Amino acid sequence: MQLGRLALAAVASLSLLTGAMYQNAKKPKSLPLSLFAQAKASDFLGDKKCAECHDDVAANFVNSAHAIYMHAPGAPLDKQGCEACHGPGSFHVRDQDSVVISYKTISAKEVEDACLRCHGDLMKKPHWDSEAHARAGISCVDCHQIHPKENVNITGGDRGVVQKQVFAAVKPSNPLLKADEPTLCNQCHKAEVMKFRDNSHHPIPEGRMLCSDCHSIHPTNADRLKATSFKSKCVTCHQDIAGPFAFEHDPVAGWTGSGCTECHNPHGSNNPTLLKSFSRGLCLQCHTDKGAHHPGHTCWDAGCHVAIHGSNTNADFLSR
Amino acid sequence: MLAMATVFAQQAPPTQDQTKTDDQKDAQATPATPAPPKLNVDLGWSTWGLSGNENKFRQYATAPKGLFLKDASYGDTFSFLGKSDVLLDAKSPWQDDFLLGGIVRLNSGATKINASEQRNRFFSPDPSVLEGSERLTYQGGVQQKLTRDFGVSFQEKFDQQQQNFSAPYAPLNQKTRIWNADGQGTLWKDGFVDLSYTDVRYWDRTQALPDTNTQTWNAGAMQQIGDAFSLNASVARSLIRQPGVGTDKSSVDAWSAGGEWLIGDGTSLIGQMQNEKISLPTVQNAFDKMRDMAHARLVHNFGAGWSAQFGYSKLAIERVNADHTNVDNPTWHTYDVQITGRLSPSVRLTAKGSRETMQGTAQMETDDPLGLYWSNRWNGEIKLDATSDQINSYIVFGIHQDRNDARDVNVRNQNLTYGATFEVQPQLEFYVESSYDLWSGNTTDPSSPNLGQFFPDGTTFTAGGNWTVDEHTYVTANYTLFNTNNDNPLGLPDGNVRGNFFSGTVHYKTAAGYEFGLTFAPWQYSDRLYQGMGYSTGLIQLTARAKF
Repeated sequence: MQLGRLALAAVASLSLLTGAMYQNAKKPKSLPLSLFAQAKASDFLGDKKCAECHDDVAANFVNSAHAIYMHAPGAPLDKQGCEACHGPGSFHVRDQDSVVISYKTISAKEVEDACLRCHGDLMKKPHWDSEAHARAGISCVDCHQIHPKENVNITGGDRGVVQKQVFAAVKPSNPLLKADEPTLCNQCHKAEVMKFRDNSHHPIPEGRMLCSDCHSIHPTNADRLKATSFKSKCVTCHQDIAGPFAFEHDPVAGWTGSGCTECHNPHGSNNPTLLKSFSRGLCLQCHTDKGAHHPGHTCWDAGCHVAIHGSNTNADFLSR
Repeated sequence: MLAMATVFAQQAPPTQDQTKTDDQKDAQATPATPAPPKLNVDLGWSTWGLSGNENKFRQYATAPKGLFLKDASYGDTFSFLGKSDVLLDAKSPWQDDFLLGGIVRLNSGATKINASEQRNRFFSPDPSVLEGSERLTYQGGVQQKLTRDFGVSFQEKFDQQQQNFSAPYAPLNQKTRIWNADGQGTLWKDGFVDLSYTDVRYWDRTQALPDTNTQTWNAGAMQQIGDAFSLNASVARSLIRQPGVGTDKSSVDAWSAGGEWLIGDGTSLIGQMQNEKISLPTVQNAFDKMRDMAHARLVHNFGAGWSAQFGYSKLAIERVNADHTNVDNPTWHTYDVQITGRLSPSVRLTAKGSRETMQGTAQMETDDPLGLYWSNRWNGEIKLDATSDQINSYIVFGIHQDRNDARDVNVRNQNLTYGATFEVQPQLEFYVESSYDLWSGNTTDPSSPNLGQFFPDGTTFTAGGNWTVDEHTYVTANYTLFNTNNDNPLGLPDGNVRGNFFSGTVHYKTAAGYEFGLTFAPWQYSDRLYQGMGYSTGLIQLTARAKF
């Protein structure tokens, strides 16, 4: 098996390449999140106190998309300013050896607890825990960046990740993300992102789409509560194939089966129009009796099955 | 963890009257460092030459030519209805492809107004001369918090598509308008409600397809009980109207219910079910009248970075014919398992697999009465990530197989992707990645040709590097290759192709903060059987960026 040999060679290369030993970074001490419960009003010192030492961080934070929410009228004291996320400052001032709640050192679960203190209207804790990214141990700060890395404006143009971009011309992403979406997603979903380099692909590298146009990265409470799923998300843009048609290609039209992905690879393919198979081989997977039917032609040649997504005029999809 | 969450739930945060005023805090918080730039202007000059097929070169987008505004963005904060800010961004305005967008947030983010416009011009890849295609989208909306935890929103989107395809496909000239109104948030302790209405209108200006209006009402509620349990339920109704077609009105009624249960610190159980009743009186051949779906998943973390998941899904359908008499009732059962953990401190393993089986029969409603759907599907994937101080490497092997027992058809796909990033020093990094797609298809049906001839293999390779030469200069380079091997018995275009794409950029940033860039990108695409599809191009682009 060609692929088997390739896999062996790749594993061997992997082993050789990873000769150096993994070294766990020495973690600084972090104060527990339960400090919020212990804190009195006088323990919250305000942003000025933080800025006395962390003036660079404080200056950049005004560029964060988060900044505007941090002094909302009526917000309780423990949900304002730096201390909303990092805990009451007095504990930190008293114990200089410790750090405030540090999102570099606490666990994914602790990050989740901290963020959901304010974002519970987006996701409930059991709900987030049930999502695929949480199950994989991904925390909010693996993708989101609360402090901009540079002294940049709030459009989020520079995030210090330009050199590691997967595609150079991507569409602007949410300013709260650490990098553009394809670059972020590529950290784990490398095989999927690689498909966008194929000859036929959805135009993410060209900056016309984002991963989140199709994928709900962390479905919110409201997303979870949408019961309708009777057509695939593809028809949001490809409305001309949404139907319903008088003659539905029902096993693949989204009413059963995998819908569009029965025939198309949505990320990319080396066949035209994202097809899984080339030319008439695609149809012959199911229509095995049609092998000798007009040999030498594609199934969608002129005058043939040109309305394969559904037709209002012809049961054999010969016209729209 | 639960104890920690309980602490949050039980805490009584200090009240506003115990605090300093916001203005007092803001005045105190003013840092000594300079104010960040508000305006970003990125100018570009670009030229490209082309020999060969312009349709293929401009399949996805059109590179600008001459002097152009690559990017202009403005961001600022101001006081109007409380703390507010504005973000405006224009990417290559007045070019074939552009994006304009803006967002204004007022009253500490309680009100959000957004709008954007995007246009793309492109071509269908074809050896013949074709008119260009265009897609133009506008969208805008407003979100308003009514309380700290409940808000309403209204969004509207227009999507105009005018596309020209190669024969035999007729051009598309269509417009879609989507309205969405939504109210969502917490109205009682640990609860959540969502009420929404979506109206989708589709107009086909070629008159080949009927105008279609889909209205969907959705209502749902979620309740968290303690820190470890939540339940949700929702109902939805969609009405689909196609004036002048059949009985004019189709509908889908759906409900769903489910929940999540954190059984312990390391274990959770998730369950969800959904039912859809579908009425499509306009459809004159087979379709699903009813669908029942159920899903359950058990997740357990063993500690030390190891976790396992077991999932089960069921889909049962009632399929009817044109006269709405029953055709068949197939049911699919899918089992999946995933194991993740660290083999050593530097190597992480993810292995997952699934199997789907069909129970009952479903037959094709043509002159071929054999089984319709795949009767078995298998998926497997194994992934290894290895990390060291300088090298991150990975290998992913996936296998997917579909089998139709009634037709004795097998289709198999194997994919191998591996790569590595090598950080020679903090300023210099190289990466390489390779992917192989191997397909096979076969059937013992004597009337069917060799299916494998139509499942081409493909190779994709990319390599590049990033080098920060000094505090002023950095260089990026990327090379991508794809290659398809196809028996292509019909001798069609796009079957046996090879693409070579190189992009290299040198960036220079002056001490005053101005940035300059020079990009060189020679691209070459060839079709070994169809010369007319190939092209060769070289792009040169100069950019200059300033921040104010």
